Amino acid sequence: METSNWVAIAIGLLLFALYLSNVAGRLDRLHLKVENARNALDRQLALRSAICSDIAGLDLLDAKLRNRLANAIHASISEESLDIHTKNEWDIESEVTKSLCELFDKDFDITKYPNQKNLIQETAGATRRVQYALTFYNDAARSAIKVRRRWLVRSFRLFGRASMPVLIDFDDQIPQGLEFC
Amino acid sequence: MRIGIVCPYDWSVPGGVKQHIQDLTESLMELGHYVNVLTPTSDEESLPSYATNAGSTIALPYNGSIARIKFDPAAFTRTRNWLRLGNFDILHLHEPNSPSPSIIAAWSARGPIVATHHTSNETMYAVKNMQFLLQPMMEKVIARIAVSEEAKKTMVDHFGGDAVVIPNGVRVKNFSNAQMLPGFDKEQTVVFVGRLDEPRKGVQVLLEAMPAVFEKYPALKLLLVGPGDVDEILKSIDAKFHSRIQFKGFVDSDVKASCYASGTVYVAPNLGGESFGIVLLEAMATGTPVLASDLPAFKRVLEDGKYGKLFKTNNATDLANSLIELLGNKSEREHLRVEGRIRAEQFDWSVIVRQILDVYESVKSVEGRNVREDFRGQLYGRLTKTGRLDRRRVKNSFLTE
Repeated sequence: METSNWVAIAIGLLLFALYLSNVAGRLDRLHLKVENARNALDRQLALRSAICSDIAGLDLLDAKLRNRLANAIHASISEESLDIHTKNEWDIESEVTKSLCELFDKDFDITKYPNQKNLIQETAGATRRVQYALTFYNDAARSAIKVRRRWLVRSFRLFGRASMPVLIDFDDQIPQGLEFC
Repeated sequence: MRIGIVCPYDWSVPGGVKQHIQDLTESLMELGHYVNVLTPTSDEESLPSYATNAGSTIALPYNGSIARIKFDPAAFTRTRNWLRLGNFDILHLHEPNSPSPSIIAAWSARGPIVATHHTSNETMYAVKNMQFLLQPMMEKVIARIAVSEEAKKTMVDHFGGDAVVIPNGVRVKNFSNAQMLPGFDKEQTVVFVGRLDEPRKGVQVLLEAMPAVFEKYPALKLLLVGPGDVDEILKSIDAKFHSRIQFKGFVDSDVKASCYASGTVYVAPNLGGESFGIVLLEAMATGTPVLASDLPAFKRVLEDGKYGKLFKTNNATDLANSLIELLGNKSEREHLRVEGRIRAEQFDWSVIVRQILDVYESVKSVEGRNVREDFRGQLYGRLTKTGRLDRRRVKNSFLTE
């Protein structure tokens, strides 16, 4: 074969390698994004639990519902020692959300609690941040999964040692009574 | 918190996105945050102290309007300098897919990046064809906000992914105390606000409906507020009604508030392309009842007619009938006035800004690293230390602190 053909093949291979390196770099960034989003979600869940324990101790609200919330938070906090996040953990977070929704249903009126206004607004903020963090985590995880499923990525193992991101699903709704707080 | 906001459009030209950014910035500053806005402008003297000039602009048609935007090599340098000097905790882009400083900032920065999508329309062909180029850049955005369900749908259709919906805000206190314009009867005035030369604002539908309404109420006046060709408008309505139509041309926001306040009814006959009914909320904040076309965005703001009346979009007969009915029903107007004020309070910027801060809070990187320049996309970056990823794994750092 002539030299010019070899040069053409070499250039082609080089471009292909550059392209692969580019995709690998992009995937690496996506994995980092997923990891950061996961840390942010854990942080917001912990913050929500902390604020909710104050709410659970608030004498003004219905005692039975507060008790339910206290139990849910207890489960959520004690689960913390488990490093592997089982399906069970997300069920507990759903339970925290549900008990908050019952406490602050659509008839809840913040103007009745002028002294606790700050605490209630903090709670509203905490529930919103959990929802946002979960949305952003799943968004990141989905885009990483999409790239990882590509044929080229799988055959050249461009994802390296990083594990496949998982989607997280739990009840993240904002209690109706806190919507405009 | 130190927040850098990027405005894609010319600061000296009024518009929804610019207004949003201005209100957001002022609300954040009231809460004690440091904010700097990078924006193109053709009039550097009139920039507020919190804004940085990104250069002058060219006019381009975008989303059915004329958008004055900016995209040139010098803008890259300016954007990088701004990023370096600002040392921001959060970078907040607006309309990140328009050819503007927003896209340049997305390209040059890494760290906690938030983006707000304002546009809602069916197809943006340019964006669809460019998608493979934009995608890796857009992946740097950690949190997306859409101003309405429609804007979110448009974003998802074009880029995939997900966004949280945080509506536009209105500065209620700027509107609630607006004085009436002299020479207008609070009981006999219909108000329209919007560009007269932009078909999607729907002024033609209103003009088609007005003759019937004028016949029914002989003392009624129509007040058209917004820039556009007056002769063009007068041409499309019978000459005998000309004396009853008044034009206000382009007005600043104080006069605009007075215009709303002078109306018996505010009519929003928009045909589409509206992602959020900010104009409705402004009118409601001044205590003027609203009659709007039943676009999905408007329906949501008015909660299917609870806070204002709706008519069939682009249907002049239905508009005329609804308008005649509302003008003749004082008790319904009084009811809408009270309900509308309550609704507007729910969208006051003091409420909305807390939701935006919650987004900032939930993306502020766990390692506490702020926004910095991104060299990773460049060969120089990939061969040197600046471009490598930090593999510091901080698992639950908050809990172990």
